[in-house]
Amino acid sequence: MSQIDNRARALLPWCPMEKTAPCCTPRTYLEVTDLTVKYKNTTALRHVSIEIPRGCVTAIVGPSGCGKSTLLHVINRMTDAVAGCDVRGSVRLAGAEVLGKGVDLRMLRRRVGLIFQRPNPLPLSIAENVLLPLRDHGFTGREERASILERVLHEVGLWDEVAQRLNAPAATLSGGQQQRLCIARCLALLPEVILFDEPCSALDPIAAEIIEQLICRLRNRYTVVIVTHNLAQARRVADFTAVLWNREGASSLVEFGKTRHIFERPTQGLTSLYVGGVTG
Amino acid sequence: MTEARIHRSTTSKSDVAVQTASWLALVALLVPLGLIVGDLLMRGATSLSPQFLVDSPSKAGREGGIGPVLLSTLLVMGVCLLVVVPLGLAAAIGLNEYLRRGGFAVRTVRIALDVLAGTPSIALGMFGYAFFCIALGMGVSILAGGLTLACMVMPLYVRLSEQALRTVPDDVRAAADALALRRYTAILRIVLPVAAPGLFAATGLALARALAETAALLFTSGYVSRTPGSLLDPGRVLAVHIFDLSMNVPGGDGPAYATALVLVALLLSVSGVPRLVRGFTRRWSHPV
Repeated sequence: MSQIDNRARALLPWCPMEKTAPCCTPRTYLEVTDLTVKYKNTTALRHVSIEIPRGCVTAIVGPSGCGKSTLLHVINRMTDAVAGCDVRGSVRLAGAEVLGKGVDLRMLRRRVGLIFQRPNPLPLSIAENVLLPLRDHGFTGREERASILERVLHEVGLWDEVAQRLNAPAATLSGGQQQRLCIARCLALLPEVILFDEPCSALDPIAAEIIEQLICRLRNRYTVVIVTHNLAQARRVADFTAVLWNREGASSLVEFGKTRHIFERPTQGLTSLYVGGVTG
Repeated sequence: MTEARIHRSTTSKSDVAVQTASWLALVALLVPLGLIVGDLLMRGATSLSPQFLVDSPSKAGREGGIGPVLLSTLLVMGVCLLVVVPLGLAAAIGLNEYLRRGGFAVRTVRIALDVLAGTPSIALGMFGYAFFCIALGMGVSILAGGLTLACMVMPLYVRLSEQALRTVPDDVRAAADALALRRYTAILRIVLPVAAPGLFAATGLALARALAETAALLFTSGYVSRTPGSLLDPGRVLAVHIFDLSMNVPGGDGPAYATALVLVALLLSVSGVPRLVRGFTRRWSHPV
């Protein structure tokens, strides 16, 4: 970790993660308790409780429309902007309540980054996609920002591809590159948790594989939650897996546990039917 | 199914009918436009000369040019734009970016703008006279005229600007939200650049609407054809000049047509300039 990055980290009120192997002894970092989400008349999620461990990759799987994305968007309060969305229950990040009033949304969204299904670079240059959020969040030193830019682009494996054209529009990148740029943009703000909302479903298989490998590299340093409807992907990348299912008009958690257990020895009949490809 | 059959099926009888109908409609639209411009050219071009654009009118406009009228027009438009663009843009940004959609404030402002948009311009002229000229003591002046016009084109400008702001994709807004960018950073650096072409077009259309206005200006900026010395002097705009020449001045037809030609040229350039600017901005702005 460079000197400059240490200064950047000094801006943080939270403690960044040391590189360890926390999955041996999972410690809950993100605690969702009795979460119920309603959109006007329909209930998207009903009484969902999950304890997401620190430094691990947790996959949320389930058929379409089972509230996977809703669950993800509640965690960094993107649901606030949705009219008529009613969120009840509790989400705790490192023990602190995320829902409710008085939460600093700006700080929360820095700590909890979100990667969308479709790559959505800002309509700016490649470099500005990373630099603008940095400036906006108070990283005042020009050199400091430049070094963060280089570090995060290296981290997502984009540096060698774009170093020569940092000022080109981000829209000129391929879909997979754009998605990696979005991840780099998120990493630049030094998040603790990164939420991926089906990050590969709009990409071709090769680009998807690169993203997948990237997610695996994020393990241990970030707490990763990934929504996917690709069971094979969940099996490849996730340490833990949660299965959501729509029952009687609302979704709820069917089973949560180590990915290996979910896929090899599920305790619920529905889970075994789903991972066995019989239903869903 | 063979390839040939697929091709044949693409031009059915109904397709031909629809195509013919759209061509007819196009012609029907272009004929009146051609007639108007042709008429103006035939009757006005003879009186038109570089001198006509700078000279002062004499003999009630039968002779001389439209220099002071052109100046007054530019000043009135300038006042109008100086008020409409900042206020209208702020309103559009407020309605679209800050206020809760469908909330009380948004609905109230929308209704107010709709009422304003539906007000006949002659009524706005009377309001402008009573409010700006009398109550605020501006007198019949270029300032009062420009402000009245501002009231008139504000709804159009706000509506068009809102449309331009809405061209910013939701994806991009979500990205700005998820990165927790400050609102004004997102607006200044992302929303406005993306919406810029539409905002330029909105300005052009609002200006065109203002240029063509006569009724609201009769009472407020007057029809004195002297060169205005300040914004508090009255001044005659092009449209009022045409109205006066053709209604009140026997033998004023030639200059009236020439003035109309100038007005049409101005209108075309005003609606064309934004397109030009769009061409330029495309070079340095980034595609979404």
